[in-house]
Amino acid sequence: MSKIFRLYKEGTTTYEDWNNSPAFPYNSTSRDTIEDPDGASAHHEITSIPSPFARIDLVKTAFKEVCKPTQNGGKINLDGNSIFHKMVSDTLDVAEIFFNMEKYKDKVEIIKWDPNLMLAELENSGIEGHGYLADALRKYMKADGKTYNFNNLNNIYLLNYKNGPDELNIIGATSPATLFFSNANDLSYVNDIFFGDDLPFDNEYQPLYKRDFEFVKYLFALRNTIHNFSGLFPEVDTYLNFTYKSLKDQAKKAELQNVSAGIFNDLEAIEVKRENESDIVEVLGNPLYRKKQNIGKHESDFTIKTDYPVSDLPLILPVEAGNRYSDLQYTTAKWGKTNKAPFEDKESDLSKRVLPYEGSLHPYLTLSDFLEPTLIKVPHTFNSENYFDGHLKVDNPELSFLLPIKPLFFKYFSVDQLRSNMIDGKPMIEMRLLAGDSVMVTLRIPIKGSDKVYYVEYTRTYYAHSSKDIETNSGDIVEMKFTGFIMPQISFISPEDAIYNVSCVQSAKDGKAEFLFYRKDERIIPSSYSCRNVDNEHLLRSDNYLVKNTNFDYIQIKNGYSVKGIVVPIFREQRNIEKFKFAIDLGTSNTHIEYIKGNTQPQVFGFSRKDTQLCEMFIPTKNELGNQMDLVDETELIEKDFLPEEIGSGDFLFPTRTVLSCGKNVDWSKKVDPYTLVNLPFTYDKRKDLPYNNLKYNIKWGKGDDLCVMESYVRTLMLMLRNKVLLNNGDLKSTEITWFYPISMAPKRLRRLHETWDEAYREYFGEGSTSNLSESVAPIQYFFRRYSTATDLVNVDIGGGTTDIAFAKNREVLYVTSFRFASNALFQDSYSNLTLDNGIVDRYKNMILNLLEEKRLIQLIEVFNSENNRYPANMASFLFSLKDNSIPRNKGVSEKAIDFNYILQEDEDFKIVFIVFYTAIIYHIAQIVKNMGLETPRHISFSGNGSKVIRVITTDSKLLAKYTKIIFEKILGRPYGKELDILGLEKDSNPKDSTCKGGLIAGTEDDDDVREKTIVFKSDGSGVVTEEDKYNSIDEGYKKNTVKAVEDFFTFLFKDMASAFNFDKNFGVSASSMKVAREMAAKDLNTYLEKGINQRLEEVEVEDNIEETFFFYPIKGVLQKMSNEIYNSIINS
Amino acid sequence: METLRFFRLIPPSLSNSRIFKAFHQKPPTSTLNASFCAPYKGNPNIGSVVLNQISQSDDFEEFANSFSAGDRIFIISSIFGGTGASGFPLLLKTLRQGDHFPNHDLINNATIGAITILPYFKLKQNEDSEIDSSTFISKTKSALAYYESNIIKNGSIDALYYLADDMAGIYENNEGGSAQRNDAHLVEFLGATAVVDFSNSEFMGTSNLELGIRDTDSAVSFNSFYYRMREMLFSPMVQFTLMANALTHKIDLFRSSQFSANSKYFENFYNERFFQELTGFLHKYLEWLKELKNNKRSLNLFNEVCGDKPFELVTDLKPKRILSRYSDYSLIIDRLNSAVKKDCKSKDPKDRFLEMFYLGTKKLVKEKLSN
Repeated sequence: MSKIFRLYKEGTTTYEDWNNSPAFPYNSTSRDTIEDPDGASAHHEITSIPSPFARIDLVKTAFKEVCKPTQNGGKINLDGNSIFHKMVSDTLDVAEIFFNMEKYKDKVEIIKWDPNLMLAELENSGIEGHGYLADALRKYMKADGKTYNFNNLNNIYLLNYKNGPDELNIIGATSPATLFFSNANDLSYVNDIFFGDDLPFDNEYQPLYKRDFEFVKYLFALRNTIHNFSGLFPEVDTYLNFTYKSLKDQAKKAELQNVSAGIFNDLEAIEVKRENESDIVEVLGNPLYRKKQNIGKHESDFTIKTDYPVSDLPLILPVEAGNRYSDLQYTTAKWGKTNKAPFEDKESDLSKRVLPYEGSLHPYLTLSDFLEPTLIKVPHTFNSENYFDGHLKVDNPELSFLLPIKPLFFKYFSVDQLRSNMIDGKPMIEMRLLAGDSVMVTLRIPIKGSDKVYYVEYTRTYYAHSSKDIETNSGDIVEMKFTGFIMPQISFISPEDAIYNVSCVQSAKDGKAEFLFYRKDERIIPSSYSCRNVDNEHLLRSDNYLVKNTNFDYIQIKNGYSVKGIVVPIFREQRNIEKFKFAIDLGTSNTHIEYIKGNTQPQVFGFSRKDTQLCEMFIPTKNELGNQMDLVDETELIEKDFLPEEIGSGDFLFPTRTVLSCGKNVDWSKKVDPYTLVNLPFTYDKRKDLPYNNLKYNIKWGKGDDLCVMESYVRTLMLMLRNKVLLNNGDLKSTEITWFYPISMAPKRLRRLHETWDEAYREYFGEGSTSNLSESVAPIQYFFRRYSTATDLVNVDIGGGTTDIAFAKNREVLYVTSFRFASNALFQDSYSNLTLDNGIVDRYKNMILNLLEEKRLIQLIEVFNSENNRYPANMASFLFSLKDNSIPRNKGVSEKAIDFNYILQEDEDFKIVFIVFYTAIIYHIAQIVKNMGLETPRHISFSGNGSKVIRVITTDSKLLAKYTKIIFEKILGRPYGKELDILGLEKDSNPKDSTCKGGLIAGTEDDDDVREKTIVFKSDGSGVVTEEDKYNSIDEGYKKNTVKAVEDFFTFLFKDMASAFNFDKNFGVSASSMKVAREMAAKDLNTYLEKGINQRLEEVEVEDNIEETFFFYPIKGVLQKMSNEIYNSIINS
Repeated sequence: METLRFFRLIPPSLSNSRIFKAFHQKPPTSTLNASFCAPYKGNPNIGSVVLNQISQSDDFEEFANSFSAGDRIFIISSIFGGTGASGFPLLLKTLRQGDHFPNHDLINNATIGAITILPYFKLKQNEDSEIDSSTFISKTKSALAYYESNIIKNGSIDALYYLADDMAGIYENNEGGSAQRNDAHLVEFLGATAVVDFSNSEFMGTSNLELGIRDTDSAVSFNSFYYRMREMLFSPMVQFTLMANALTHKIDLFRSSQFSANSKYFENFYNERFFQELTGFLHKYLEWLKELKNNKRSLNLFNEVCGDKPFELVTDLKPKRILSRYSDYSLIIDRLNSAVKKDCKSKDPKDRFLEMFYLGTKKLVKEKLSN
């Protein structure tokens, strides 16, 4: 045995000296036995193939080497770490890039290398070096042609990575020996191409069997379709065999077995275009393929999970790396541990978004698509009972945050989902206050997921004292000061029924908050937008939005700088259960409403906190004393321009003054919706009004333009009733509405009124109509019901402008009559609205003003001094209302001192005026009783707000009854014959409610029926008016007789009654006032009569029937004169 | 004698550079930032293109011009480096297929041999160096595979000699040039023998030649070789070493008048340039022997010091006793004198001097040291 100078230990042969053998001693088998103590470790690339096509050769060798069993185990390990495994992995990376060319076409380009053309170019270039290169290449291609298939080579296609460090960065190419080969250089600059979470050309080598199965199938298909594949690419062929063996999934193996050229139908040839040439990538003439555009069959685990039928479901991608989502299927591969999506993708068209780490176009969403960059802070206490607070707990009461959620969220999820929890019990949204006043918001988006992962969690921290930075996922916080409300907070079963009044109250000058309404992710445009404070007359303003015929899910609040946040109301479901009946007494001066819910007793209309109509977004805080600390001005504005929080228990209640508050900028030529620019001001006379508002009084009797005012008033009232019904689970369609009208109302006006009510009903309740009753009849029903002993009853309804009288027997109305002589006649000049003085009012108003000034009740002083209260009737109304006003009471003013009614009761100078008033009415009634041959009434009931003035005379009903009986007896000329009870004037009773209550109890009556019972007692006392009595039949004689009748009345009063009944002792009448009164009663009766007739003629045609007695026209004028003169005499004395 | 041209392309050790005629290659244009003058740091794939310039160079042209029928070509290269590994197959292709140089017909069909040196040493790991000795084996395997397909199998070479050793002597790792201070190695020596063998052999078809010696664990000596190698090496080397010892250790003796030949033939010889160069060369030769001896695997042919016993120069070989009144250096002087008087045919003193030593030592070896 000799020592042979060779690399491997082999053989027992003896070589002596230089031994000649024809066999190549280092063939493949022998080479394999050479020990490589360092292994084929992959520190440096192998470069010792002495050929310019070395790399092609090496890759060929690599494919062969990785299929050899390892030296120790004897098993084939496709997952090894050697330099050969790296070469195979890098080559497969190149192949996979070609396969996914569509995705990477902005990053990689293909350059064709045609040897014939290129070598010739090199040779002809004139540069020496080029010549050498071309020569070397030619030599080797010729010499090594068979080994590497250079003989059949058409072209080589190079892959150039465009974003690399140099002008040309070739990362790999097609190979005639192994289909593809990679570059040996460091390709770590290729950092934006991803196969799942694997980077190509990195230190983690990926064998074929672990790659995208579509890609594997493609290579197997090539094997099956390229002619003589195993002869041309033997090493690759072997590698594919071992790849097949390495697959565990039987189904995949079966697919590979059956793979055929058919799969190329789903693929496309790879085009290479340059100038006017167009080629397709091929190897030895066999075309290669790439995937078509879309991701295709893989359904990603990140697909959003939504209950809505949205097409093109986007993926929801996590923005933090780590283990959490690493096992979920992304597209062709898993998401992996290092991937994280960017916080923001600026591409707004989802279908144009490029999937990160993937390259293909597919919609996906990330954190900034759901969460706003800025969080809005509001320095008020959030109403978390009625609005969703995002589960945020705050210690500081006057601190809240709007939800920073973008409307896109609601394209996929509902508000209910937002408020509830995920499968694992965690809430869908969480908001937490952190130290330093920052807020952390977490949003969980459900995805298809796996059995361990159900959602992707997004968290953003909003910092109070730094600016936002999307790159680091930090948001900022911006403060907005505003409040708002929704009326009513009900979600409608049928969206067409929806009517919402939503307002935003904020600083008039600086407030930039804008409300935008959304249902799901779609904008809802409000029907109208209005604002009263257009001229900046008050420091706050209210922006009013009317949303109709659609529900909405949430409101987006936007400030002028496009900072946005949302407020999510917790709507109550509409329920149609209860039946409501309303009776509305829309009087000249006062309005009253009573209602029945289901089967309950009638009650005054009102609402409490439980069914408050406005649902405010922020609640005012109160201090220990119960005084409001926050949102003081806003609450006042809301009370004045909309509704108070409660009606019925505090300062605000029914009956309320019939007046409409409207913004100065109202255009009455258009329909004016309630709460946009108009409302019923319950604060009237109780609080100072806002400078941009006007008040309209002439609701019931308005002419021309004022008819629109009436319409608005009625509609506003109806809307308030509607919301009451909705908030109390009532059924709109079954609601019954009854309203009242005075008999004396002209038919034309009445028709107009009826239309208004019916239209309003149709608008706010549904198909159907309203019922009406005369103001005379309704109270009758009530009183008969109330007083079981009632038989003959006369009801006297004294309003502000009109008095209605009904004569009933055993519940049935016999006759009704009506005239415009009511409580206003006491406090104002009936014939001139320019006259601003009135004795009674002038006498006491300053005294009360002093009281107010003493206690510095500025608000009320301002009300006192308001424009409206220059009119004495209004002032009287204001003075009467002070008794029930909480402001003086709270400031410790003694009740009696501010109770105008009490003051008048105690007063003895003006008592006579009230006595004249009362007696005139009873006188007239008695005359009718006499003329019609009626029974004397067992009961006389008083209803209507104006009846209250009768209590000024005396609070003792029995005394009054006594007085009344005497009047009757004198006129009838016989004893009364029975007891007489005066009803409705009890202390603390509300005479106005008997109308409404009566209305609720009674069934509806035929209009004409009652009208037929209308009588008008002629002023000359000769009987009732007949059809022939028209206005144009009034002559001087008639007038003269009328004056005579009035004179008779005054005589009756001042002589007959005064002697039969001691006014002073019984009622408290001063002698001086009696004297003045007597004097005034004799003057100017004719003048007043004329004035009265003319005033009436303005409303009627001369051919019309006389509808009202003239009796009271002179008396009206006398009353005014009387009180003025009494006042003068008091001053002068 | 056939003219032998050979192109040496392995990184030369300093000592070897004097023995063989180096073939200058034009410094090639740089590739991948490798500097000009440094060899290809183990990247023959680059070398394969760049070295293609050789065939256009003046030296090549000169070579081709002076080639005549019957001349042979021998290419020397290493397989695991850069320059050699790429130059060899390229050169071979050029010689066999090239047609742009003179006498290309003759050259295309000439007998061409080559030796490829496989790894026989291991470099110390030096991370700054692009040469990674751990890749020597894998590179060798890859290149061998290439040779198998593209050189042997297509019959482009007549004889390919292979030399490798699994003794791992670790050298400092520097990338060629003067810094690569590899000591002279046995394998280089053996490689040189291939050239001689090639010149003296006839080949039918492609021949693959490997060298075998007597199995040994220790150093290689003359006894390690089989007959033919020994024949080739023993006498010439012993002769030469005798001369070297004489003219270095005993220079004073030989310059003196005691060496009678001097007065007649070599009066001014010792002052002339030639002698200085010769002695310088002989010193290097002895150093070379020393390096070979001290290297792993050791080539231990001669004893380093034999002092006044010149015939005890061969390791493990006792000189024969002969009948003569002279011994040791006096014997040598005697034989030299006789050679120069009777046998030398050269005219020129330089030639004569060398011929004298050649013939003289030849006789001495026969007398004293052969068996």
